[in-house]
Amino acid sequence: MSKGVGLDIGTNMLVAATIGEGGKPVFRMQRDAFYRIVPKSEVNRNSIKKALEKRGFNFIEDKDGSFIVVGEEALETAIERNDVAKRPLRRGVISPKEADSLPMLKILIENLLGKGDGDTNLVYSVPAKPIDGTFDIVYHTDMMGKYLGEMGYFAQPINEAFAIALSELLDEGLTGICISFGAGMVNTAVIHQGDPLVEFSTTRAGDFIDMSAGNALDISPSLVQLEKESGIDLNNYTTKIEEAVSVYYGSVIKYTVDNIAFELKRRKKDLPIFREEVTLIVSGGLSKADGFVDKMKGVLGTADLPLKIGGIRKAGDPMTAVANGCLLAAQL
Amino acid sequence: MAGIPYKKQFVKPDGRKLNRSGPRDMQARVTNAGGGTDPALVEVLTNQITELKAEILAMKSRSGDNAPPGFFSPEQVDEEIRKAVKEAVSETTISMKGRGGNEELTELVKEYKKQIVELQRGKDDLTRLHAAITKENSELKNKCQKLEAELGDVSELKKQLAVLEQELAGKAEMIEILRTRPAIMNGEVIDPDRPQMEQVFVDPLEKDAGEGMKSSINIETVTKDDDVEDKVDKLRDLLGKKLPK
Repeated sequence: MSKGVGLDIGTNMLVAATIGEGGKPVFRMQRDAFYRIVPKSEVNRNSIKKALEKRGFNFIEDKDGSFIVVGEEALETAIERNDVAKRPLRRGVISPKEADSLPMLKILIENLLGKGDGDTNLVYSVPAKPIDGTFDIVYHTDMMGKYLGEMGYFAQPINEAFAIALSELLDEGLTGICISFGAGMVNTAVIHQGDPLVEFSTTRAGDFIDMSAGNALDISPSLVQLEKESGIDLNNYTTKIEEAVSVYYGSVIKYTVDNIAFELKRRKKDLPIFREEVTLIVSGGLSKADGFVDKMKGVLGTADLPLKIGGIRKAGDPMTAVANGCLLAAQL
Repeated sequence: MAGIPYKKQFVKPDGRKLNRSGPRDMQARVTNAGGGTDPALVEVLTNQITELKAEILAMKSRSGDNAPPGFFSPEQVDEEIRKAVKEAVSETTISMKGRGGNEELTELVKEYKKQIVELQRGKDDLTRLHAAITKENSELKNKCQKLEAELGDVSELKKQLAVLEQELAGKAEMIEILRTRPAIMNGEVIDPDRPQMEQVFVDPLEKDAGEGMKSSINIETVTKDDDVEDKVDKLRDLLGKKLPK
């Protein structure tokens, strides 16, 4: 077997997949969020460093003397300082506005994968073209390919939702619908016998929920995100934040399903006739919420789709499904 | 002769007394009633009995082996009839032979046999013909049904064609007009033959960006109990060795 590696570059999470001993997949993940702390003096610098080390935080020391807290801890630090953590990716793609975060992104990827030997296959995930946005997917794909090439990899992009199909739809002969509910985007792919027929993305996803719930309750979106990620039951909420999150979850799911129905109808002529019911796979961080599949079923029950949905199921591991698909693709 | 004792005063269980019953009593009653034996009557009856005896004896002798002349037993009658039939049959056969009837009969039989064979052959031919016609008939019926179905499809296609023709009406002119007119996007005239701008991406980072950064990052590793090789084999079966574009 080749030594190809997979990399899921998500707005919120980076997940690397390699093959370990005994041919078992090995996953390493890191939240791609940053928070920069600029010390006011040398004394202050030392005390900040000690505090970060004592708390076991992951951080990067910049040459200007500042500290960049990365990952989960970046969110915590931002909340403590009533601020917002930065992210190098916005809505699934590299944002030139966040150019100062890109070196950290590169460092994080290097930490996850290590350096390549020049011809190691690497398949990385990219979002599909958005149907409700105008940002440049080609730019993101190209820049990421360049960075990964500089790290010593022979990098090849793959659509995020299609990567889920490679991981989760093997027993269905690679036929079905895969939806990745991420932080920045929701990526959808309709696949027929291994052929991705329809691929598109929408920009109302996890960040939209955090932002909307934060605005509604006048609290930091980062706090909403932490609350949301600590585990939420969409049918049984106990706090106001959970209630707001549940409401916006419903909005995102309905918006996604409505757009899937619209796009499938619009491209009906390009679609083959699905003689049998198709399986729908949901994945991504958002799909981890309890009651998510039931909400999806409820909304899909009222949607007018040009194909029959046979069953809806969550990916084996919604956080690693994309990386796993990339890893499998890298072995071909 | 010892007399049979009769219980004259027998009392029955219901209380009735039986004091008259036996033959002596009966005889006594007949005598008392004046019914004694009349010698003249006895003589007449005796004569009649004698005549009847003689008659019975005569009948018995007629039906036995020693039947008197002019009388036949049933077995003899049956045998006589059989003999007569046999004689009649043999006489008839002899008379036909004498007239050369056997040859004619043989010829006749031959002719009949020939005709029977021909008729049988004709019958077989007719049976075969009937079977063939039945088969052909059912095949024709099937063909007719298929043709009827095809006819239905054709008429449906004709309808669809008519709708499409209606939709296409005027499209050719429109295509011609659009072919000669330049495409306009966002107010700009798009000419496919015009040289296109090459897509060039500029890395927003400085060459030395990230240099001198020191990372203190620990990342946890999670190994899953999954057989990658098995999945890759399945994937190769479905996609070959290349990812779809």
